[in-house]
Amino acid sequence: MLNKNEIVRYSRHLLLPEIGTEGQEKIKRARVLVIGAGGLGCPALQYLTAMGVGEIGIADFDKVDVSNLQRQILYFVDDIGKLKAETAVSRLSRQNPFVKFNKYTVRLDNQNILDILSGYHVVIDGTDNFATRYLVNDACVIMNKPLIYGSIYKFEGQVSVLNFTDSSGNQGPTYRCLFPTPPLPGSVPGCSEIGVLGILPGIIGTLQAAETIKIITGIGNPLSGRLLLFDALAMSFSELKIERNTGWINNAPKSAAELAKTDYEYFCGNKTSESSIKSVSVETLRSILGNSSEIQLLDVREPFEEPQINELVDLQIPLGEIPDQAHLISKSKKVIVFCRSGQRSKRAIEQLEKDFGYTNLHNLKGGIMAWTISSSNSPLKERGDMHSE
Amino acid sequence: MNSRVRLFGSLVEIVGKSELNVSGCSDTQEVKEKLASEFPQLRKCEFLISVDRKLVKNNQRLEPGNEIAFLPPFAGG
Repeated sequence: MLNKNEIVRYSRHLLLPEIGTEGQEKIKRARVLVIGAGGLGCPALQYLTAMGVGEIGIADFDKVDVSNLQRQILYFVDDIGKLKAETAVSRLSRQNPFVKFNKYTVRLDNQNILDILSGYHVVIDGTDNFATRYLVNDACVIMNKPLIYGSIYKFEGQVSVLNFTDSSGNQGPTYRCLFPTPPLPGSVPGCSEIGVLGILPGIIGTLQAAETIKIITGIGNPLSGRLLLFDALAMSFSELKIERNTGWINNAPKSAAELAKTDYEYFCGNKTSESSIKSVSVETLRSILGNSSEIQLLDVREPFEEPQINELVDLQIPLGEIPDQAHLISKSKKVIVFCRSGQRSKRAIEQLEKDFGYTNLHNLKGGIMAWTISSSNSPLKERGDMHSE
Repeated sequence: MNSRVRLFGSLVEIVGKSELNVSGCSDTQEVKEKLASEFPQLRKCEFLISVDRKLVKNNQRLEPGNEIAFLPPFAGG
């Protein structure tokens, strides 16, 4: 129920037949978690607070830096050095005293995320790194919560409503249906490395807030199954149709227990494993390929992934099907496991060693990418030294 | 066959423009391979591929007039 002050405060919403008292009460009952109180999080938070979302969680462990003020308009000069989540709560509480705020100033990880998410209906992704994006996506999939995705690059933005189940029970795509494999570390620079137009996150973050309110109130067409692309230089929006990809979703942890064991920093290549997995280089593999009776090659990529290398065609089991087809893998031969970059094959080996007792598995370092590079004798040139062949 | 390829994000910096024409490719994998041989830095990049504004899951055959897009993930928030 809305009180008298709220009825006055939200009168412009109440005038809209699409929202009205019923919609505003839904907004009041809603609990939204905003992950990252930076460029995207700030505008989303300010509008969600203004519009009267009943309970808002703010997850950010970072402190306000002077370089944030160019785009994070919730913070002032005298906030520099203070925790963003705390500063945001104190400012937003003054903006709308009818909203309850919860702050999380710990770094989100595979141990705490499910607990934090469990109290919310909708999650907004305003993070600035891939490890957290995959972590948040996978947690939302496990807990069946819609994820309002936004990301930015210089003058461009992407927005979508991920993991959304419509009223007929149809499930929409997830982040892994867009980008099944994280980019190599350093290959996609962030705002702090390459810069960003100050107003860009303002535009993308407010779009995320708009989608959030639509989902809460059930009005309009949510941006599910569509990826919205914004280009501030061209001042144009375009859209891609996107679909669920069950094979790629199956590569994600499927339960709370699996998620708690998934190392997202490692998955995103930000650190190397501390485990003692044996590996071979492409040069070594090339030299032993002749003894094919003593080795087995296991490709854990999806069947359609390119390139397929004739010399390496042997046994193919996509990562998600490893447990069901483990019996096909030799326990006596030297088994070389590979994928595109060496990440998924490492996971396959970890699983096979742990659950099936394998001791004869070797990871192909750098995967097919390293193989094709060494085959073509055209080593990758560093940026700035591009050439045509 | 000529195909128009739109590029986004960091891929624009690698290729030097946001749009280009590729000829003689009959499917998306060939387009990817052709551009990667010209701009080897692309081999290090993850990106989704769309044809006529629809994400393709597998390699897809191309028809005349198809518009292809390469879209990388963005990190920033």
